[in-house]
Amino acid sequence: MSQPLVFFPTTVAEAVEVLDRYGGEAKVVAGGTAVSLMLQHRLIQPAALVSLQRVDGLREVGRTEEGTAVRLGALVTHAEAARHPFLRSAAPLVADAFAVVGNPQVRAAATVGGVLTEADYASDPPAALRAIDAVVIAQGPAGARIIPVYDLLLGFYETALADNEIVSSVVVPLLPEGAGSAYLKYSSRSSEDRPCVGVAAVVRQAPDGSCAEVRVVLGAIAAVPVRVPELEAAAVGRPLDPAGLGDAYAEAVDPLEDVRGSAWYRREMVRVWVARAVTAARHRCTGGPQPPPAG
Amino acid sequence: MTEGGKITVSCVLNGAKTDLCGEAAQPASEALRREGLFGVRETCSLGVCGTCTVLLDGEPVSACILPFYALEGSEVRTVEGLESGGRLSALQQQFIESQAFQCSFCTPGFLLSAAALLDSTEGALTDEQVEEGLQGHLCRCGCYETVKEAVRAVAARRHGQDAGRGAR
Ligand SMILES: Cc1cc2nc3c(=O)[nH]c(=O)nc-3n(C[C@H](O)[C@H](O)[C@H](O)COP(=O)(O)OP(=O)(O)OC[C@H]3O[C@@H](n4cnc5c(N)ncnc54)[C@H](O)[C@@H]3O)c2cc1C
Ligand code: FES
Ligand code: FES
Repeated sequence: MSQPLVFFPTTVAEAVEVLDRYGGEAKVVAGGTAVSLMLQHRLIQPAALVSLQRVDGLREVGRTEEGTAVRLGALVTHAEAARHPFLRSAAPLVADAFAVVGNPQVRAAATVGGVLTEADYASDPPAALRAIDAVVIAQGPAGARIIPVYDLLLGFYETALADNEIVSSVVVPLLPEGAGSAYLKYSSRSSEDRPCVGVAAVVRQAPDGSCAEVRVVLGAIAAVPVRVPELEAAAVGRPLDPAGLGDAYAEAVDPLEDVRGSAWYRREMVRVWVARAVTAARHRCTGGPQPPPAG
Repeated sequence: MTEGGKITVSCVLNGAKTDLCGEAAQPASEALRREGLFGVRETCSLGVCGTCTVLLDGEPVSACILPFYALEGSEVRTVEGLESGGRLSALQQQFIESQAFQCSFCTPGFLLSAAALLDSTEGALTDEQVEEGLQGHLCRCGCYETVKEAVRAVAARRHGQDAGRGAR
C-alpha cells in the first residue's frame, strides 16, 4: 500500500489550501480515532492526510464576544469539553454528551470537530448539539460560513462540508434562562459502545408549572438526529408529562435496526429514555417551580 | 510542511528525548513496539480493550487508534517508564501484593490508567471513581476486583500520608 503524504499546516488557510489542491483526495485528521480505523481497515486510501495538530487557535473554549454562546474550537477534546466548568453550567446537556462517549482513552483524543464531521448515526454529541441549536463555523477558500448542525448532518457519514472546507469551531448557544437540560445515553452491549438510543432534552417551565418549552432530539435511531416539532409544539401550555412524551415519541418515530437493537426494541427504548431524559432535564430547571418530591 | 510516507517525530519517551521514525498510516502502537516497548500490547486494534494504552502528556490514550505523528512534541509514557532507578512504583508493587492479575496481559494498560487517575486526584478513591477511571480496560481473566483493591489501597495510603502531613 502506498503511504499517503502527511501535511502539518499551521494555519486554517494553509490547511484549506492543501485540501483544495487535492480536490477530494485528501483526508483531514483531528484526533485520528476514526481516521486511524478507516486507514487500518482500508476503508479509505487518501493520497494525502492533512493533520490539524499544529494549527493554532483551534483548542480554545470560551464565551463568544456577544456573550450569548460558548465557542468550542474544533480540536477541543471530548474530555476537555466534558469537564469545562463554563460549558457544564451554560449547556449541561452538551457536556453530558461528551462525557459518555466511548471510554476515557477515546475521550482524551477524540475532538469536537471530529465527532460532528464523522457524521456517524450512532454518536452522542450530535443529538445534544442539535437540541441546543449549535452551529459550526466552516472555513473554505472563499472564507467562513455558518452551518447549523441541523444542516451539516445530511445522512450516514455524509455532511454538507465541501472537500476543501474544515470546521474551525462549534458555537453552542447558552440555554434560555431557567431552562434545564440533559443528555442520556442507553447502550445495549458494553460500556464503551456507541449508543443504541441517545436522548437530548431541554425543558423550560412557566411560573404556573406548565410546560413553556420542550425540545427532544433522538440520536442513533436514524441516519441523522431526529426532532419532531409537532410534538414539541403540542406539549407547550400543558403540564409536563414525561411518560406521555415517551409514548408520543415512541409512536412518532421509525427507528432503524442494527447490531445494537431491532426497530421494535429501539422504539421501546425511545419510550423509556425520552421519559427519563425529560425528567432529568426538569430536575435541572432553575428558578421555576420545584420538582415534585421523588417517588 | 509536506512530509513523505516516512515521518520522523520527536518526543520525550519515558523521560528521554527520542526521535521515532514511522509511516503515515501506522498507529503509534506499532512505532512504540518497534522501539522495543513491548508493554504496549495490541489486542483489539479498535480502541476498545485498553491493552495498548500509553500516557500522552499524562492522559491515557489508546495507541492503536492514535496516528503515529500525534506523538510529535509530546511527553509519552509506557509501562516501561513507570519504574524509576530499577525500582517498581508503589502502584506496581501493590498490583503484585493484591494479585491484581493472572495472565497479566492487560496489566500495563491498567497500570497506566491507574497512574493517571492517581495523578489527577487527591486522597482516597471510591469504587466508582476507580471504575470510571479504568472503564476503558478489559481483563479477560476477570481481575477487576483485585485491580480496584490495589488502586484504592495506594490511594488510601496516600490519603493517610496527606492527612499526616496536614496534622504536622
Ligand atoms: C472504542 C470507540 C468507542 C466509541 N464510542 C463512541 C460513543 O459511545 N459515542 C460516540 O458518539 N462516538 C463514539 N466513538 C466515535 C468517536 O467519537 C469518534 O471516533 C471521534 O469523535 C472522532 O473524532 P476525532 O477527532 O478522532 O476525528 P478524526 O478521526 O480525526 O476524524 C473523523 C472524521 O472527521 C473529519 N474531520 C475531523 N476534524 C475535522 C475538521 N475540523 N474539519 C473537517 N473535517 C474534520 C475527518 O476527515 C474524518 O472524516 C467511539 C470510537 C471508538 C474508537
Ligand atoms: S489494542 Fe488498542 S484498545 Fe485494544
Ligand atoms: S490478567 Fe489476564 S487479561 Fe487481565
